[in-house]
Amino acid sequence: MKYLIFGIGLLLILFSCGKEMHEPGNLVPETVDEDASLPSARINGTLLHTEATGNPEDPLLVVVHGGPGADYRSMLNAAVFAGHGFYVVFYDQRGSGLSKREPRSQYEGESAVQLFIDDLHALIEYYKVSETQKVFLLGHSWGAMLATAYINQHPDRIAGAVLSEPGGFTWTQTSEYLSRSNKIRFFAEALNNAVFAEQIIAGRTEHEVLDYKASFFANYENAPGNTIGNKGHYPQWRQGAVAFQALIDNAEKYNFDFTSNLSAFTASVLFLYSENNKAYGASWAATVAAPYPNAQLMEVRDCGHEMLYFGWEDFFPKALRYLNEMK
Amino acid sequence: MKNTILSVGLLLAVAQALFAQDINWRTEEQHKNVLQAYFGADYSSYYGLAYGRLVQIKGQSLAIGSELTVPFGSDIVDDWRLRTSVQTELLRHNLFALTLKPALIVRRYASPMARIYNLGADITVLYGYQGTRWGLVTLANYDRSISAHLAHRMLKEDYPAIQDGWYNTRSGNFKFGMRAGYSGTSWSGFLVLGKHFGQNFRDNPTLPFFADLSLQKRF
Repeated sequence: MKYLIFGIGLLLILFSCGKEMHEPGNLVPETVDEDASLPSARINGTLLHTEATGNPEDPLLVVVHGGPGADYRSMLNAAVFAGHGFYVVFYDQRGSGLSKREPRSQYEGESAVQLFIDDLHALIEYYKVSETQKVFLLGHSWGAMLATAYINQHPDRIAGAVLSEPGGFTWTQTSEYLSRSNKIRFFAEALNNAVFAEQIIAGRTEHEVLDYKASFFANYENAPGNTIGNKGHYPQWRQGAVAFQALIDNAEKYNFDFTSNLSAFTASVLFLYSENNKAYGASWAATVAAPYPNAQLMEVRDCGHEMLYFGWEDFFPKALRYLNEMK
Repeated sequence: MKNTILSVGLLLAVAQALFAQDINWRTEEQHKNVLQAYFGADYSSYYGLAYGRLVQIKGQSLAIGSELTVPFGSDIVDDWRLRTSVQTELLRHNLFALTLKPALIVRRYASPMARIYNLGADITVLYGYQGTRWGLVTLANYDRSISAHLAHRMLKEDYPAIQDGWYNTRSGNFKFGMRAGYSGTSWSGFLVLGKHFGQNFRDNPTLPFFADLSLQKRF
């Protein structure tokens, strides 16, 4: 027995040499505070990865990505709106994508979602060049939820919104949707692909390691046969694992309701759902959109949930027509 | 949320062959060989086969063996875990015993995102009642991942500067649970249930529980 223990000890020493997983840049790209060449802005006490394209005096179109904890890379198609008279703003939310990582404690209080609403507010103020400049929001998934949370608090500051498949506007609604969209296939390869690595990379605290590990998990929803109709993997920069997990824990603990004041927003909203997302569909779109007094529902053909990437050909003309009408 | 949904979904079906080759040292007839089939869930669902041999070294009974665990899924060779262990009773008082089980582990993981080879070690401590027929013991395990070789696939498309190669993983998971067992003349059955945690008790596995059901033939 003592030889075995000695042998294990020796192997432990021998195999403890190699690169460090948490070294910036090794496994995940550096964030804006680590790489000064990335476009960034100091917003509401943090450093966000953000860029804008178009004429700064045109109506503002702020692109709000999903997740939480994802990034705007798969939404870059929206840059073409700049050629149609919009000043298009992209940003990675706090602690997500290539934005600066923040401690988990920032997302643990009851006001965590409010922090994201305040970030969006500060971002709009950062890019806005005049008080009369119209502001539009283009939100996808969690981003459409966050856009709605913003409209719920600031209905007079937004001229219109394009919302693509927000899970729900209350926690009850969202958890109901997630139970369908992320349905467990217990014996499926996709499950192994998502979680098997947790026995290899475990018990870590560094953002670099957690974000890297989260990339395995994030691919679960894009695996063959996925419920939400995605055709495969779509481009991403970097997961924000802490922001994602903490916000989900926060929602379970405190719940949320982004509909309490939506009746005050009388402008038209374009509400898009995808043809191939089996967990969504027209009826769920109608249910979620109901608190908006004036929502136009439209299906985006030949794609699933990630419609700004896989369904851009049908998404773009619908969104452009709406935005031109509202401009 | 995705974590939560997965956790709840897997909860009822719940150790990566952690407990294969369990030995009831009290059986009326001590055979030399042990063959064990098992299935369960921990991290993901799995099944596996284990072989062990009982030996005597300087009057000390040892069970030495290996177990191969494969997750369920369409690709049966992409992910696996090979664990080689030595098991012995350290202390015995009537029908209560303290058992120690150190092991070396080699794992392979592959997905469209990356391929990983991993070397680890774990140690399991069991304490409890073990009669000739029935047994009930508590267990604690620490599974330490030591080093991993990463080769990236789709992740390289997203981040071309990602670096393949050997990495220190320097981390692990704790498991705490119970094992119930029943032994016949030449066979035994075991049920293991428990909960596991990341070593910092924060970065925990998606599925917080584990379960393992095994059938063992001694010959």
